[in-house]
Amino acid sequence: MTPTYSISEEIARWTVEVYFKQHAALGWWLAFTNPTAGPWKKIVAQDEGGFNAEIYRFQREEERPDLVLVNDELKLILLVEAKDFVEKLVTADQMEKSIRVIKEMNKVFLSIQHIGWGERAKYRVVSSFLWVCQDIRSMLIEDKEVRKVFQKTVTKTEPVLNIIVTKDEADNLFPNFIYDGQRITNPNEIPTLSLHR
Amino acid sequence: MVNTVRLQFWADSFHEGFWACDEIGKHFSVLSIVYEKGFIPVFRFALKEGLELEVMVLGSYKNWSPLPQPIAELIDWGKPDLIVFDPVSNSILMAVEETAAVPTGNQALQRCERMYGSLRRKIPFWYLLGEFGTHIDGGTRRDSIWPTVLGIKLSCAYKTPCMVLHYSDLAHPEDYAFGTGLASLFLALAIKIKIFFGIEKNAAFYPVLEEQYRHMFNFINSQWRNVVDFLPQEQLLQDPTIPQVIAKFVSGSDPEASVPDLFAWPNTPALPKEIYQNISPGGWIKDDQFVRGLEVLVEKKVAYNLSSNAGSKPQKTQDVSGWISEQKNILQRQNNGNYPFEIDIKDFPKSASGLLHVTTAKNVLYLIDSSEDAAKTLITAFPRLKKFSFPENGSAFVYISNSLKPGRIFGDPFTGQLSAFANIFGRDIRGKNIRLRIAYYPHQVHAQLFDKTNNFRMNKGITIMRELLDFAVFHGGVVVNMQNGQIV
Repeated sequence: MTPTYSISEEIARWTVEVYFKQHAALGWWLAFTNPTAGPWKKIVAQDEGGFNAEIYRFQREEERPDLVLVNDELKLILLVEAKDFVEKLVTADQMEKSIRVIKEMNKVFLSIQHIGWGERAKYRVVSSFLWVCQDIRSMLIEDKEVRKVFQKTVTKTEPVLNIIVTKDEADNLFPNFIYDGQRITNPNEIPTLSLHR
Repeated sequence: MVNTVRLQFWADSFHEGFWACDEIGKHFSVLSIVYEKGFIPVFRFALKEGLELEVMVLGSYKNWSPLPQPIAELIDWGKPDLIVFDPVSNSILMAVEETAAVPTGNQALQRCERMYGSLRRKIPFWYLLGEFGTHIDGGTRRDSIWPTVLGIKLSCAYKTPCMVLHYSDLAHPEDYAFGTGLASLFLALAIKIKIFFGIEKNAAFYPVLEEQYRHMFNFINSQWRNVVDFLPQEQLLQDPTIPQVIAKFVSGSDPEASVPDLFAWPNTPALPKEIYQNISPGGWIKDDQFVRGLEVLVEKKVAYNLSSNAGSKPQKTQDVSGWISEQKNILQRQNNGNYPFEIDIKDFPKSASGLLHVTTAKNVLYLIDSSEDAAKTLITAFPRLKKFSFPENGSAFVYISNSLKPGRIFGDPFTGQLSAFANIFGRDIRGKNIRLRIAYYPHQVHAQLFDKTNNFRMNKGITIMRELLDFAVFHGGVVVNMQNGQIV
């Protein structure tokens, strides 16, 4: 028997990782994830054979994003900040921290000299927020709230991809993707042309 | 007809459980991976013809309810990164701790309470960590010997594996892909699973354990000189038969195996001549009457320290002031001022950067030949103890924690240090107590140990203190018998 679970940031983030594992055809691969511990405090890059090489290692006290996903075909990097629920994402302190991480990571991506990273330094970075919404009917309201606080804090207009985890009829968790206020089927529907650096 | 057996991999994060399944997949074919409820990985492995193993990964302990009782009890001592659990027998097969950084200084002993917490329940424990790591200063550090020494002593004391394995090498610090530890860990898990489900006999575990103990002995042999001036029975580290004997003893293939006394730190007369001659006091930073007395014992060469490289972490004046007030309040609330309180901020020396030193002795551990000497030293430091004596005269150790923040001594790194020191220096290889075990908390009030009815409070730190200490000496020389709660 499976024990019952309660929602957490770990479960939210992992649900999204599972989605990308199961939708490999979309072309996204995981460059970094931030569970509490383990051999994952480094950013990796895939070579042509699909093998991962370490290209950047975070310092112990360095602030880290929660997920970094890369799509070589679309030349996109998703930089994801996660929390269990929206309330925690939109506090002033948390949003400032998220934006600090986004800015720092943009610099890191540009500065990585490793041959395995190569052209990826020029990919467009899309800021993304991830959380769980208990009531799917509130999803778009929560999306709007996050975008509003983000835009206010970042003080410029920048589209974000929100990934909102909800439950389906069979009680399965799955991610919904909302780009710039519009629900999209998957992250490959992000309009890439307008986003290139 | 295919039979299916099931295990659960409980883990600190889904990644760790998934990673363990990936590694097990190098020993058993992976037949499928499905995700229950959209995120719970369920791996199916072929164990042998007609027998499949289903492993469910449950990441992040706090998110699941109800937690099986054995898991709840174990994680109370710190959350291992992986617990292999059989839901049918409601039992833990093994626990695994792994860390991405090489612990240095106090951190080296941090996980030791998890080792002890697991072994006291006879749960096999594996600790995987980097042998070489990059320090914040850019230099390369090598792991401390203490967790490995503790692993060998706990293994023999509890007849249960307590293994320390290493990944990385000098050229590839902190890299899991190098060194033998990772592969060795999951080989052990694969064999353990086979034995558990009757595919292999118990004896199959013996060669794995032998190899792992050999690694542990080789590691200590190559590293102890960088940590301590003297290691007792060090010649046995190179004896190729010792890992065999211990593996046989621990695996149960020869429960009567004659395990030699190992890592038994002697009294001063039995120290090697040059070590004895070089015994000298290490001094103190913040003056303390009991520490002065201990230093006199070292001066007289009837006590010694292991090394003299303890550091000090000065604290902010504001914090020190606040902690002193809190300690005073706890003592008054609980004991109506019946015990002395003389902690004064003026007694804490200033560091070069203007912070305050809380460190008394520069060494946190004293091995003393005679507990009678320890008692006399206490009486001299705290005249209120008058005719105090310990129940019987024998050798003793005094472990010092200088922490001032209330409650801090009940958590890491102090509980880890106590778990390591008490088991390494207070017990012999079979787990028999060989020294009177004393802790000294100069800046903590004893009232924190007790509830309103004067019974011991219940928390991990107090449990460790009650199991591993005979006496605890608190601020003002208040001595608590940790076995019966009696206060002197």
